[in-house]
Amino acid sequence: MRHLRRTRPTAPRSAALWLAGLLGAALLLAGCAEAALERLGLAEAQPLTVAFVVHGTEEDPFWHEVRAGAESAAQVFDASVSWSASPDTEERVRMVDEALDQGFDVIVVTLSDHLGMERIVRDAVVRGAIVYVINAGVQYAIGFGAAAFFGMVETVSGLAAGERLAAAGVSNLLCVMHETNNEALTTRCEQAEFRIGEMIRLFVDPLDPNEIEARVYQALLQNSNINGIMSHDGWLIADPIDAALARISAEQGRTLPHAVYGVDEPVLQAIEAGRVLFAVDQQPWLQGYLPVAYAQLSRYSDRIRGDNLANVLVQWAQGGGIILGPGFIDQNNLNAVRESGAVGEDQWWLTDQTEEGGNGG
Amino acid sequence: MTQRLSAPTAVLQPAALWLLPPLIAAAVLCAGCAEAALERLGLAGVQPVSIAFIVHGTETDPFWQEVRAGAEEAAQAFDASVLWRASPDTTERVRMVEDALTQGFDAIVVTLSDHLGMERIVREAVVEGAIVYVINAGVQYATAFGAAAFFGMVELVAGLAAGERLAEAGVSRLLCVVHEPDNEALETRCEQAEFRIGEMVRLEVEPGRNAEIEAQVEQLLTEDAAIDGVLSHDGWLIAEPIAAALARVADGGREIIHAVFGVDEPVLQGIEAGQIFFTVDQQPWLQGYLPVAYAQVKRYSARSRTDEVASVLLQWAEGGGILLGPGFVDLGNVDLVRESGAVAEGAWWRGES
Repeated sequence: MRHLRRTRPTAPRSAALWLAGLLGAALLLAGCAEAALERLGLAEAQPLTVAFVVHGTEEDPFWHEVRAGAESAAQVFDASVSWSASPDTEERVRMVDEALDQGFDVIVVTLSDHLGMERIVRDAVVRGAIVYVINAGVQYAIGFGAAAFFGMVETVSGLAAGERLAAAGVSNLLCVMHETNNEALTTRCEQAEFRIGEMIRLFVDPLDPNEIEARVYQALLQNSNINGIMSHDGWLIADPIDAALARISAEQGRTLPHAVYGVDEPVLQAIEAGRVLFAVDQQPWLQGYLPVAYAQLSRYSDRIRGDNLANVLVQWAQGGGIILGPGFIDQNNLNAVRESGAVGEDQWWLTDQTEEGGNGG
Repeated sequence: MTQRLSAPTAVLQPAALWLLPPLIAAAVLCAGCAEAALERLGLAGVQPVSIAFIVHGTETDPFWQEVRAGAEEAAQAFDASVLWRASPDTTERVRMVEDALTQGFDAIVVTLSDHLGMERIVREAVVEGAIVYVINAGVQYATAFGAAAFFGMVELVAGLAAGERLAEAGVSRLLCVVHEPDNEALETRCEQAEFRIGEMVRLEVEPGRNAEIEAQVEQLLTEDAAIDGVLSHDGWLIAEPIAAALARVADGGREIIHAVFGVDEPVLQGIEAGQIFFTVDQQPWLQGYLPVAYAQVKRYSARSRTDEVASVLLQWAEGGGILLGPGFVDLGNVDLVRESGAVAEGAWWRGES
């Protein structure tokens, strides 16, 4: 089944989104990448090689979106992108090591396990590679020698999400974790707990929706104090939780606010229907797009100085990167989000993907 | 005496930016119990950190009074000693930084409104072992010069976004009123706005001379009939005489859209009355507060890291600082801005000017 996936803006007219939109319109112009490069004075630029080594696996729609951003930028900016992913830190260290041996100009990593990645990141910098951090690890990126960070500040997102849940009356939160080795999820849960008071973690296997539904249902049955729930990977994880919540609601008349990280069409529909209280956005597409665009533009910054938009991107990111979240989507700004999504529909905003079944409903 | 509000940033990280400071205020400060807060953070009895602010904005400017109020409130809360010096003259500021270094200040906070003029002394300060923070202007140079963090707005993005909004409203020829001839940030905003709008005319004015500003603006608008938008900086201080000139031109049936940088009570009223199309916020109070709070919490991070809120501040700023703008306030969210101001009214959110 062909399914259209769309990256959603953070909030009405988020600055980062809006910049990317401008870059999209002015630099990219679908189908005329060469003209864009010429305009930027990059027509004869050496193609850039960028290796992405990330913790998120291929099955995860979030990471499809990051990858789609990277590939779109690769086309536009004449870069060649290699993509490797493993949830296992040792594996990723080995992948970075290989990329260095192969002489990649730029290495893009996630610091979901910052201690495990520290040595290889520092090594990469010493060996002359440009390192960017995306998605997780803003607080370590610069310290490890990375040139920029593109992603969300997790401590802030967790605290702000907790604040919103507490305001909605949640005093005992079930935090559903689908990646055991990702510090970002732990940070979110702990920060939310700090505002809410009590928090229980539940570890689940992201690829087994039936098990997620059963375990969430069990947890809610066993602990009648739980009055709120948080999950972390869009509808992939939210769907089975939603099913468990529907059962609890039908059987006990008990309703719990559900907050979700990640924005996709089913999440937007669930917000509309009142089944999800809010979603936290971190603009995954840009987490892939910006490192590639920035790497190429800053490499030839002497030439592109005359181009205003390229200049904006370079100077903005020179401040240490670009923070892409948290953005909050709820019933109040849902329409604005849909509208702004539609604006970019015929440009870069839309990626066409074949989606596997298994999470319908 | 007017009450000044720092508005939330509606565009960049809407909730996050204005959530953290009230949290810090609530959890760390609690008015009148600074000692208890320091104790809670494990900082009771620590050496007070000494911080010298050396900025380009003068004492008479309400914007800078707000920055200073933030710095002084943080100084009280975190037991820091703050020295405040200001001059629009770069050579003067370089000398002030030298003085501060000689006096052994732990941290130096500067603005890079004239980045070339400040580069050498900033690099020297770092070499001499001072912690340097940049506020307000110069995000793109801060890290490269060796500064540990930047707290402020990305001017390029602010100007481009303001220009985009004006262009959408139909503005095709902009009058950009510049009140600080030596501040690169203002040039950046005007140029970026021009990039989206198409045409831009610059007018230099001297702040404080309202009658003269009004006359200058009115004259220019009369001479140049194609101008259909005005952008000014520094809140009501500069917006007031411009609004007066626009009112007189409007009597002749001509409508010109006025956008402002800076949030204060008269500007909010101007937005409500439809005189001002929107204003751009960069949270000046936090530009003073955060460097002090961060310097102290960071210095004792081994101890303060166990505190959730302190730890959030640490981790957030360790990414190179905290971006405080641009946030846009218009008719669509002015109520929200007032509400959030009211929420924090009893705490730190208010500066008197």
